[in-house]
Amino acid sequence: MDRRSQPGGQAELLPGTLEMLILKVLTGGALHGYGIASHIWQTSAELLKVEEGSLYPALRRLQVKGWVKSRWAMTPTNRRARYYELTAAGRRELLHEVERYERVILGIARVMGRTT
Amino acid sequence: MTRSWWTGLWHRLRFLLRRRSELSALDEELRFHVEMRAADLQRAGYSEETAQRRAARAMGDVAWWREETAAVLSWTWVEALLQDARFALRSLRRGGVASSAAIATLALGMGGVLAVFTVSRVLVLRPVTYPEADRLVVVYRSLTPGLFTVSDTIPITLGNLDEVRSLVPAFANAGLGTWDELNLENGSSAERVRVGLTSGLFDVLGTAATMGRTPSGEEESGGARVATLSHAIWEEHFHGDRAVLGKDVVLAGVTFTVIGVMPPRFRGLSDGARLWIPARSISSFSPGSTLRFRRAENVWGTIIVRLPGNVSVEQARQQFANALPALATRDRMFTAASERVLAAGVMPMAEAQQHAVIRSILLLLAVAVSAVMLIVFANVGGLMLVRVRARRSELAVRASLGAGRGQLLRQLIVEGNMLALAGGGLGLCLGYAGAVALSKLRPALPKTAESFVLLRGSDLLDGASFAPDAAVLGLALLLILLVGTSIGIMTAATAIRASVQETLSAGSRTYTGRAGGRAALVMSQLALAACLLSAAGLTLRSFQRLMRANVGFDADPVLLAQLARSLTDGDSDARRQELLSRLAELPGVAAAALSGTTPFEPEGISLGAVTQVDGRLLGETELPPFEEHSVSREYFRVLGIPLHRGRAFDTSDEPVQEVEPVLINQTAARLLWPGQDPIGRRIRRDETVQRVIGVVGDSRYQRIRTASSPAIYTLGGNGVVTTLFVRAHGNPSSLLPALRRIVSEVEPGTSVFAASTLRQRLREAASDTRYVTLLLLVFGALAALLAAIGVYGTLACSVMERSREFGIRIAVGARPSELVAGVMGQGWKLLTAGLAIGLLLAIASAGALRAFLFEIQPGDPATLAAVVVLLAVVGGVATLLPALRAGRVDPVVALRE
Repeated sequence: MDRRSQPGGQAELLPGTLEMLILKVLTGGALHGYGIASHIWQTSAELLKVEEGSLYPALRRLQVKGWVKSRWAMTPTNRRARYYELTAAGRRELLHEVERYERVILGIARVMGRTT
Repeated sequence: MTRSWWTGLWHRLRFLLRRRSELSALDEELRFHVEMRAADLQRAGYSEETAQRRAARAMGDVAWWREETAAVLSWTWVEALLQDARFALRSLRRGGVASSAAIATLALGMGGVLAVFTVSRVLVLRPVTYPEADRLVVVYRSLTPGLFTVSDTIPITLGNLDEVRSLVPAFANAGLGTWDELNLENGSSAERVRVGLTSGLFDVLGTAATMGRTPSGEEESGGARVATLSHAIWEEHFHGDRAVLGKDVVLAGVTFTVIGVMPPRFRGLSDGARLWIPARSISSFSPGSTLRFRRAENVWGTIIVRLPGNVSVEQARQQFANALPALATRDRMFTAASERVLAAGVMPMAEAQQHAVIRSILLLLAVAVSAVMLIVFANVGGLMLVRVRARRSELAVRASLGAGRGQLLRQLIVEGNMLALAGGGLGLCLGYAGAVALSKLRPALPKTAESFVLLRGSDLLDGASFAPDAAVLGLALLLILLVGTSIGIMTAATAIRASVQETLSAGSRTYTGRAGGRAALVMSQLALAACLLSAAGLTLRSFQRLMRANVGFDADPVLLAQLARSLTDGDSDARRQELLSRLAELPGVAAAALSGTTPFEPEGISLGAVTQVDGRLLGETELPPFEEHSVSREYFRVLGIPLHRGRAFDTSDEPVQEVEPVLINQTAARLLWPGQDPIGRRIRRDETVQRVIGVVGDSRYQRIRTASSPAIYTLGGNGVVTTLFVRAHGNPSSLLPALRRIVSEVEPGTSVFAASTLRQRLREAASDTRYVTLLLLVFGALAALLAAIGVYGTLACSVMERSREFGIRIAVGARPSELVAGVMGQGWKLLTAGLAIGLLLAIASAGALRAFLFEIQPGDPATLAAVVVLLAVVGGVATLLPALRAGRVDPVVALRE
């Protein structure tokens, strides 16, 4: 399941981090897919850019693992949309992910001689 | 499995079942995303067109992401499997002879295995369930270390039961179960029934009555006259009357009160028991009305113990062994045997239920089933190898088109399983039909085993359902998966090796290569078939010899029936005399006699010690126990037992004399007075002094296979339960109605039961060998048929493969008969080699059969010769058909291919 190369410009995501970002974004409450995408885009000050379609396979994977659940609801503008929500397992998983992510970053930073 | 695993499965399942609606929901979600993005961009000042274009670009390739998302939820392997299955079906249909032969093999093999499994499960394997049955153990004492057979067990009597309970802590909750036969009176008529005798048994087993209650401890220890009914007798005798509790049943003149009705499958510890009474109540019956026991303390049976929760079987065994010396000092039964008791044991009830003969039958069954399944494997495997060779080009093309080894393996395993499934499905049907057919043959189980704790017998087949249940389906599925998967792996291994060879050898089309492997498979099938058939032949001949064995009396044409009076009356001797003389006057009757014992019912034969010979006192173990037979004057003539010395009883002899006249058999004469004339000599047995007036030939009363015991015949007359023997001039069975009539006229109130010919008794006595013979014949025939299919399939495929070669040979002038002879020769080589190996195997493995063989050696030449002839004929036909086809190959067609 190779992901296609992203159109250049912004920073590319490290593999596997998209799921973590989704989980993090969802800690703020239920959101639909577009909401998640814009949230990532805005909070990263538009530094991170993912091909937005890639969000959906990632969301399904999270759902299959039981970290995220979904339901259909109406938006404020009165349209039907699928809202995603963190489960308790998802919350626990996020803690693990963050811990692992920090270790990786720390490791990389050390190798790079703390240039960040 | 974690919860998230189940969530995943749930999502996948939902997606699988509602694929269309799930996909449209996904489309809606993606569309929503793009529209929202476009709307936002428009709000930021872009034109509608630009906004839409940018939104689409931000999303990326929608179709791609849609597929990717769906892929997360799809069952790629399931879908691939379905595709493989469809492909496999097509390829099996194309397979022709090889596929059909393989499916037929599987169907026959599995059908046979499942049929025998189904019937045996009803007879032997189906567990009898009691609450917390794992705490139940059987207590036994045996004369042979490590062995536990019925004949070696020393009975534990009711008198011992209390001793055992008090001396062995783990045995506090012990119960005894056994049986006797009594007349169940119904107005003026009487019916002979088997009555279970219990002492504490119901408490130990823990099965509750469906109606009423089971006897209390006081009722059992006091021998109260209370009866617990079996479900069957409640329905038949009391017509399912719910008000039966408190009613009376009259057993041999003694009235019992019904206190409960047991559930349908409850059998206590004895098969066929119609009702249960406290064992101690046996003393209430007048002498002669019971078959086995006269006094309560002598009642012996199987002791079952419910172990306390904290005691293991091993600990219980240890406690029992420790208590043996103490038991020996207290009780005469224990003392007499204690020196010889080698194993005092405790065994789980479930184990005891499958003991002795049953266990060897099961072992044999397992061996036979494995042999047949091995043949099936070899056969199907061989046919699949043929198929792989035929499909080499297809497999090679697929490999070159990029099918990986894994994919090829998966494909072939699926194919193997499809094949096994087709064969297995047919096999299930055949198995059901076979089980029904087998049950019609009523494979009776050995009596000796039945009367112990086995709680089962041929009556279990009545009304039993043979429809495949979970266990049969499970076994079938297991076999299917096993066969299918191993075939798949085997073919894949060959195919992958073949594809390598292909590139090396540029695809020559001659018959070489793995022919050796295939030949070995066919030979092993023939060898196993020969082995099974030899075993079947040996047991068959043993059965025939058992039927013709010299048991010491002339079984044809003698009718026998057991008589039981309910009430004693003073004038019985005169009536018995009248009965005999009236029977003797019947047309077609040569002579009639009475005896206290019945051949091949060892339970009813009493054994006693000779205590004095010619005034010399004997030690307790100096001589083996003597059989005692109490007979009427004509007995020896009716049974055809030859008189060797002295004279038989005549009218000058009286049943009760100060010195009792007796006849002894030759074994007794040899033991008591070796090399001397026993006529006129005296022996003393307890209080009775006996004088020998004659010596008769040895007769086997206990089993056909064991040599005669020493026996003493006394002139009986006093009415114990007696067996009436009538020697007929013609067909003995036709005398039965007249016999019944005369008995009811002379002795009203006496029941006639268990009527059969002596020949039938002999047959029943050999029922273990008969049962095994039947099993082996079924498996042997199956094996022969399968081996024939194997030979046929292999040769047919080889002929097909070689049709090009045959075509060329015919084209260059070979005569068709030469080709036929060539193929025949190839087949005969397989046959002879397979048979040779099989016969060696048969001789080597016949030891396992020894328990069922009688007067025949494992290497019996006649049996082996018959097997060789049979397999040669079957194999010859299987060889001839493909060979003839080789002669008919059309060179033009063959070369054009």
